Amino acid sequence: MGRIQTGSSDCNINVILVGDDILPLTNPTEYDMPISFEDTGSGVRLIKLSGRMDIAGTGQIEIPFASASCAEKLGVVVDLSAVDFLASIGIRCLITNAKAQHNRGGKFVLFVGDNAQVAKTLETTGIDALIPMFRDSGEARAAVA
Amino acid sequence: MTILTLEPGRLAVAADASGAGAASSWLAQTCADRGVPADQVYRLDTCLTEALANVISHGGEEALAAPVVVNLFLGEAGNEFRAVLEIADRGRPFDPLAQQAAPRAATLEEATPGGLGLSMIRSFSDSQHYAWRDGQNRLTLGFYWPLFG
Repeated sequence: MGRIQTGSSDCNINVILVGDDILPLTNPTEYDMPISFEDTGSGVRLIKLSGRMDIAGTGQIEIPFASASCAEKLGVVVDLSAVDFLASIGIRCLITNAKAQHNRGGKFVLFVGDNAQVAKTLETTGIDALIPMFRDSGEARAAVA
Repeated sequence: MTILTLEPGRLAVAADASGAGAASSWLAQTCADRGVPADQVYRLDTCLTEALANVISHGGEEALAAPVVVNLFLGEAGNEFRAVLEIADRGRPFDPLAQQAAPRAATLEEATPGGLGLSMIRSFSDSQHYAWRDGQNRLTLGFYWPLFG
């Protein structure tokens, strides 16, 4: 299994306004957007993402995700079941790498499991019509095998 | 319809990635304190994140140099719970609601980056309003859901 560590971002100029007072925001969001992958054989790679795919989180995984998902021809299953939040920048990252894998002649699908919020985001934006989306892990793997 | 209670929360953040993350964290805590359901918090967070991303990407140097102020109003109105988000920035005047939504791609090859954020704001909020006032872009987004059921 491959494991790619990501760090935390700094947050040093955020403040809360309370009435006319300006207070430092001392407990900003921790950006923990880990990525790991596993090759299951027969050219199938399962890439697991977790945390927030927002501006900071996506920025942290962009390069390792591209490296893992489209550096070679593969059948790629991207597991989003543990992703807490999916912003448009995260969707763009998925589209870019899905295209790149398709251009190599490989396959690229999404597995959301019971993550209703992420599934809704993908459906609302119509991305599920462009990149196959599965709620069942076995079906997702079968689609790229 | 009379609004019975409308409690404001206010936050100022830097127009950058860490500021957007801090705003999401603050939003989650504020909503948790008021018992806002998780699915409603998710769509509020989606719209806040996309609005801030828009300021960061398109607001220009003026927007990046000044804090973005976020006002959140939570309250009950009749049988509804209401949330209103106002995002104010000092970037160049820009009405995101006046922009044409990008047409949906039919295939992955046709898909292009851009335009998704505005589409998500329109889809995840129940009302949208833009105004240029006091030298600031003010985007106001409304969210409504039944109090019971």
